[in-house]
Amino acid sequence: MKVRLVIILLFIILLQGCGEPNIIEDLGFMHSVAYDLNTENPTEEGRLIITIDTPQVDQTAEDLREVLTTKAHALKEGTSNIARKSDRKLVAGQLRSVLFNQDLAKEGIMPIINSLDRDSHIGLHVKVIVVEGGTGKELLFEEYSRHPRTSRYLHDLIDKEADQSVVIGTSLYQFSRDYYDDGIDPVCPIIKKGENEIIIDGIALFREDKYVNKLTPDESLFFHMLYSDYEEKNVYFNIALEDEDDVFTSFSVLEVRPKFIVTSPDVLEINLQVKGIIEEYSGTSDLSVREPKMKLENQLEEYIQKKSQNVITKLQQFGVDSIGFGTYVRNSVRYSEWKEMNWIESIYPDAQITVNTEVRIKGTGSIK
Amino acid sequence: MGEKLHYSQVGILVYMIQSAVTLFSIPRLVIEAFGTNGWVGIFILSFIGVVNILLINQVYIKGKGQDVLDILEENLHRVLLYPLYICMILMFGAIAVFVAKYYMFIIKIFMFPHASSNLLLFFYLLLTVYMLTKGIYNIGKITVVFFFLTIWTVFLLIVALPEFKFQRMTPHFFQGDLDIVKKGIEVYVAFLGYELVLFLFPYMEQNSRQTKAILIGHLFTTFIYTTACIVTLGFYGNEVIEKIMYPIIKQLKYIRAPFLERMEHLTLSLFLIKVVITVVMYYWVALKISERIAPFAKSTLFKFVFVFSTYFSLFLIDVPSDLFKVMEYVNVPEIILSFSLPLLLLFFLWKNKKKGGISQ
Repeated sequence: MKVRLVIILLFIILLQGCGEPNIIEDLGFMHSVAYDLNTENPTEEGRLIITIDTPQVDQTAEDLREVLTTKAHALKEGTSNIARKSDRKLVAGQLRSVLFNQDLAKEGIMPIINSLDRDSHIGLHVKVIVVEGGTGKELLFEEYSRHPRTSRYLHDLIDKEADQSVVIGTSLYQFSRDYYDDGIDPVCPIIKKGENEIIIDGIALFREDKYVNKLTPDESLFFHMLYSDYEEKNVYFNIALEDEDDVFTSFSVLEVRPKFIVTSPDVLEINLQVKGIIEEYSGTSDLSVREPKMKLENQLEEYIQKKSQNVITKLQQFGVDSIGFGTYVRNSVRYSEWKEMNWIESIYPDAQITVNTEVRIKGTGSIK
Repeated sequence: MGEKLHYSQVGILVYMIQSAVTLFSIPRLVIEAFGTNGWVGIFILSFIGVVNILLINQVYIKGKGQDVLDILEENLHRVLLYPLYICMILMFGAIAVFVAKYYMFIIKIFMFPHASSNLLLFFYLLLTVYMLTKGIYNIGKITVVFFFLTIWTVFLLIVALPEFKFQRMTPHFFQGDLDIVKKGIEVYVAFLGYELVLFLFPYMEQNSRQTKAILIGHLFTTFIYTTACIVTLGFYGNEVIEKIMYPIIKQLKYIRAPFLERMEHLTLSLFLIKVVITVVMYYWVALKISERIAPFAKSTLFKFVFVFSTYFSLFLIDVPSDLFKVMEYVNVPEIILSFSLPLLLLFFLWKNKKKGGISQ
């Protein structure tokens, strides 16, 4: 009797699994979603253009992916519009990237970020990306012959570049964290459509959740040095040495340690410690000898200092604190003082921020 | 028949009863209660818990391990005793079902949004009844196994460390909008559970290490709560945590392995067996007290009926915020009981000793 009861109970419990079947062929895994601002007829059609890219799992399908688009006033309306166009059940569990065009990003993207954040199916690692020039819709609809699966191409591109430090691979988690933190403004990668390719075009700068301006890929390199410390990334830059003609040096950065010193809310200092190796050198000096090596280190120090200083000045002009100086200022004053000072608007744009660099060449390769 | 709960079992039991669903929201609760760096407040609350445990320990020592229900029955007339018993039965039964239902709501939000929380709870309580029929010694053994099955999840917090920054913690303490009383009580409730040890006295091995074990169990809970709060604070910062309902679950979402994503689902499922100990122990105490009023409470049928009558009492609640409102009615009486019961028992023991001395 007892055994029978247990078997019946087991059946009842196991049968629950059949309640909500999810067959993989019947599901449309949204891989990328693009949100663009509809400027043509926003009042009637809706202010948002929503485009989704789902990989095709059906073996008989010709295309490797399915791209669908709609116009809507709100997110949920858009999702249900798109669902009407697909024979598959659209699920967000595999979402990898969200794209915003510049126009929409300028109006603020937090309502969309919040609704993505609220969805328990969506992971924290979803990449937040701004599309320069065109729209996310164009970018997703475009066929890139060398990369048939656009979404994966996009995601891997950002991942790789975040590793190599040209961009910051901002995820949903990082974006909303920096948005709510009162001492830092969020950033994210900015991309544009090229000839049969997608190109990363630097870092998009936000004031709260509104896009303000961008840093070029060259500036992004130095921004990354100030933004966070890192080790063993494949970052390098070429500099032309000042006192020798036609001599170029490639310096590969191995380790960066920025240290922030707050003298007062309007006087800050960053001591940037950079270690790296010389990968290319077209000059004639023997770099294994102390003096030419030190000379090269000094030149590199000046170069990095100048470039970083330019990045900071640019950020101050835009009124965005993307590096997070505010967090250091906040931690150096009393809580009430911080709440009263409105640092980002009244102090930061004119604050005196200086960068001191210290470069150490750890190696010059196998050649002297 | 000489089976008794080993002190290590008692210590683990204390930790397992204390830490349940509130763990998921504790980083937010401490900030709402104590403001910036609210985790320091955990130490203050933990100290109150230590004082309470020392009181309970005094009952154990002075009563020489005597069953607290016997002490009550010796000293209180039935007119007073039975209402007290009924209040305790209702309270412990209610806490058990609240914890279970709360856990089901979390499961529903994160894992099965379309499932009915009542259906999930039904199956969960079946497991609870099954464990209750096995008696306290088996529960004690299962607790140890469950402890080792779940404790490793603490190390998952380490995965979030690359994103940890000390400057997010800020050097400011207890600043911002504080709600020390209301939210402080919610945080303190996360420590409650050790008071159930009072009812375990006759089943515990007579050993001076029991006190230490209970305290270590409590301090371990304190350690887990504090670590969770600090890691989450460095991961998110004050402002963000305040906006997240369950910061710990959200943080677990960050974990990503090449072969596995969304680790929070795995952890949430493992919590099923962690929470079940809390639920079972509260039910066990409620049933133990019921046996003193009605001997038939020992039967499996009664256990089933009791557990499912609590289930039906919450049947109509299907929104978490409604559950929180009802839970608030139990939080304060539970805290009052955890302090007043040992004090009352100590008073009776003192009175009995005095009486015994005079009669000698």
